[in-house]
Amino acid sequence: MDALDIPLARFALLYLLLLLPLYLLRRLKLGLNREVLISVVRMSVQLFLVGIYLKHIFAINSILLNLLWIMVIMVVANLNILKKAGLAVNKLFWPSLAGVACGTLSVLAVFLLLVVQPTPLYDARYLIPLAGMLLGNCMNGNILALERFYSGLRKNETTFLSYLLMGANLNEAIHPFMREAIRTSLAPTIATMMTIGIVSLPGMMTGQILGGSFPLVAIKYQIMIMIGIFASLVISMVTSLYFSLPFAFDQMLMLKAEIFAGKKKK
Amino acid sequence: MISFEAVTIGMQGRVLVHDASFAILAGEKVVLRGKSGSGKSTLLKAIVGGIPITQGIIRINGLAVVPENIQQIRQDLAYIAQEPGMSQETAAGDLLLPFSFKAHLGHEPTTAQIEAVLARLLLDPAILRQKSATLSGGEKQRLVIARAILLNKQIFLADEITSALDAESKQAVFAFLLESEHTVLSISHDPEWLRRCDRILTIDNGSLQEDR
Repeated sequence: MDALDIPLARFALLYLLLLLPLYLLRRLKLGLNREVLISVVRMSVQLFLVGIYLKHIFAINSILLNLLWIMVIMVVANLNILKKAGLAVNKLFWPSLAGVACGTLSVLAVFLLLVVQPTPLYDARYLIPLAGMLLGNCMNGNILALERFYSGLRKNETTFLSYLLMGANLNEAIHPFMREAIRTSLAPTIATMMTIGIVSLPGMMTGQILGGSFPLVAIKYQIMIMIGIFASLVISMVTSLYFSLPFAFDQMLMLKAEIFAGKKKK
Repeated sequence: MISFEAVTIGMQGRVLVHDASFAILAGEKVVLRGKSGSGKSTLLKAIVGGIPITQGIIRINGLAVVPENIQQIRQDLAYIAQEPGMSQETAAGDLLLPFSFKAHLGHEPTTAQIEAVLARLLLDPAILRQKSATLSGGEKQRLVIARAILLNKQIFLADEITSALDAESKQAVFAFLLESEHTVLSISHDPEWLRRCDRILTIDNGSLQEDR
């Protein structure tokens, strides 16, 4: 079974769906239309390009090319994490990348080596979409975690200092801030797991069903990916935070001002 | 003892304290005053190693405030903020928080010690069962002072220590500080505290001078 292809002319009709929302946004004077249009164009172009690229990468199916692809998307995700978290790329690039790699690669290894076991193990059809899904979720979680953690410390510097004066070591003094950051960042994923299947059918499962998989097969993959996302999220958050500590505090155990990006971008 | 030897502190290109030298002897009660934004809080922060100094040396009990000594120095210092942050659920949790840190494990104070300290600061022991969020500003300040006493801190750095206190508890805090052997450096504009303390330092336009 294969999904029905959509002819190009009918595909173009999809863009008409945007007319009403754009009209509404304009009426409400939200000033978002330009941004929406740019994001729609970017989304379309990026996906088309990646479609063409994936077609070739699936055909070639070389281990080196697949690994290179994963490395590239990890670097892009990492740059996005630091930028959105308002942190300086030149100070925290490596620790944050190492955290992202720990979370993504460890779960990916379990998926491919133990659970799915595709032949070959590096089969692009499995490796690339799974890595992309894990990484996308890690990225959003890490943005929240890093942003919450470091901005929390900056805003509550006196409280942090008072912990140090009460005899706390660095780990003890940052613990309340880390707890808050991780709780906040995990909340959306936990909430999704609570309601998944009741309110919405998740994108990956829907895609697989449309693509011709049996629902019970699609569900197994969906459960695998949800558990994988949760695991990779926690691993990448915790490792990114801990790896960044030696770069973020000075010898007096105070937060360095230069780890924050000059101008915070949303 | 706290000593400043030709200390200059600058932040974001602005000099907040210029070439300041002074010494506060053990047990002395000294007030630091100056206009808002004159660098009083910055000076206190520099003493605890919270911000770097540009030039000079700050010493606490003879030890320079540098990374090698900072852990030892911080053991002697207590910082009482104008609005102390409470992070635990109950007042007891906040009072005893430091005893959950490795450095103080096994040194928890006894109930009798806790009650004696609270009594000196006119705090009812029943307060310990209250939620931290419901404490008044004055109760939080006294709880933080009580915590510093239980930790055997020698030097108290305080930012507007009496601002949130009512008349009665202010007297209790003054009496405790004046009778104790603690060294106190406090930012204050309280006329009574200015009158009763040993010395007054004024910071103005980056320069520090002794008024009394």
